[in-house]
Amino acid sequence: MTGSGLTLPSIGIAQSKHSIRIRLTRIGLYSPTSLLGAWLPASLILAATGFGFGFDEKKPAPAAALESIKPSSIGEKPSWVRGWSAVRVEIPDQAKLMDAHVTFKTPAERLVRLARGITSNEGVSIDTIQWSNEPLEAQVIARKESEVAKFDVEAALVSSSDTLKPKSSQIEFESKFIELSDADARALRIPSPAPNTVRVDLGTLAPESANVLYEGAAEKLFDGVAFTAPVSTMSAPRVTTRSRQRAVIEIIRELRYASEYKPNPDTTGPSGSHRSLRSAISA
Amino acid sequence: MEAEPVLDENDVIQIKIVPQVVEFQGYVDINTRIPAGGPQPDSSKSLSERMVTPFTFDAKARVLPVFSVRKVNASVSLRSGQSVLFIGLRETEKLAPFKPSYGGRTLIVVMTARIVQP
Repeated sequence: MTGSGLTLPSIGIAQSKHSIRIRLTRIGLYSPTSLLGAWLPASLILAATGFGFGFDEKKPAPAAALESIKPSSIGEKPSWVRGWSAVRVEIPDQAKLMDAHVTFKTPAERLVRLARGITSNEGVSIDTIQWSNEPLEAQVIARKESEVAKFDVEAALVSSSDTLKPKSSQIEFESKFIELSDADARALRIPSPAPNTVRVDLGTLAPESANVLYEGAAEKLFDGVAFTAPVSTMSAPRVTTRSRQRAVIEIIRELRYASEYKPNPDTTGPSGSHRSLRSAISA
Repeated sequence: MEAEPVLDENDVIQIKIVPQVVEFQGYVDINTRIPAGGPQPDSSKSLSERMVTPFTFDAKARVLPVFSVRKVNASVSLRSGQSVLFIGLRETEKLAPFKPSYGGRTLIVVMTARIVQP
């Protein structure tokens, strides 16, 4: 990012193929010998304006934003970092900010995607990418041989926090229904509970809330069922739904029974009266 | 079983769950209000086994099926991959005019929730 080789810094935050709306406030570039470096103020709104749009790095920046970027004096920097511009910031998981990646574009139009501890094809390694929140700030320290460059990136979050969740997240429910005898249930260390309760003592399979099983504990339970008990009913229907959308799983046995009776007095005989029945199917 | 999930910003799935068991109890004679044949309680056999057992009605009987409904309303918070387990949906009370339960059998319902990306 020198005066002669300035390329427009553009930053978006991509999360699970979806972008959130941010406003870039400033980008700083430092060399070890010039800690102040240059601040490039910008008021640039990037990324998508809503859900469902991926980050469009080809989207041209507004002309007004281009004009607002006036590089000030630049201190000495390693030659290999001159002309670099941050083009994208990715936070795969908002809960693990240290897993962020920053992609820079070199003057040769090569994209260098850097993350903590990763050496790029440009021969650059990253010591750390530190992020804070509100506003999003990143400090990127890149090393190449004995030279060090430090990038500071700050961006103000425009969108509300709940929009960080991709709207397309879905929840899959897998249900298993097992019927077994009380004796087999006791063999599995599942005590007979009081009527209509959901509490069960499963020892180490369950966390403090006794009716919730850790990930993988359900499979252990089913393994125990398969080896211990003759399972009379076992099915595992799955259904996928969205947040706040009700899902219904039904396991139905069709039962044919007579629902209406129509006496027919003409069909009487030595065996008694007969009734013609019209059956209906019900569950 | 009905399940309505709400996914919060911390990837915790809050679920309202309503497991429900509707179980066929047998037939009742609508005139005498006594059981009129059909699958009989037998703890040694599963319901599906009892359902396929042949049975006959008295020719003078007018019978209707009887079902029991057991339902639980519950709210749980799970992380992706965790499961909730329901036990206790078995019949324990006497349902007149039937004798108590097909008894001695327990229904276990385990539901696992996972966050998936399309």
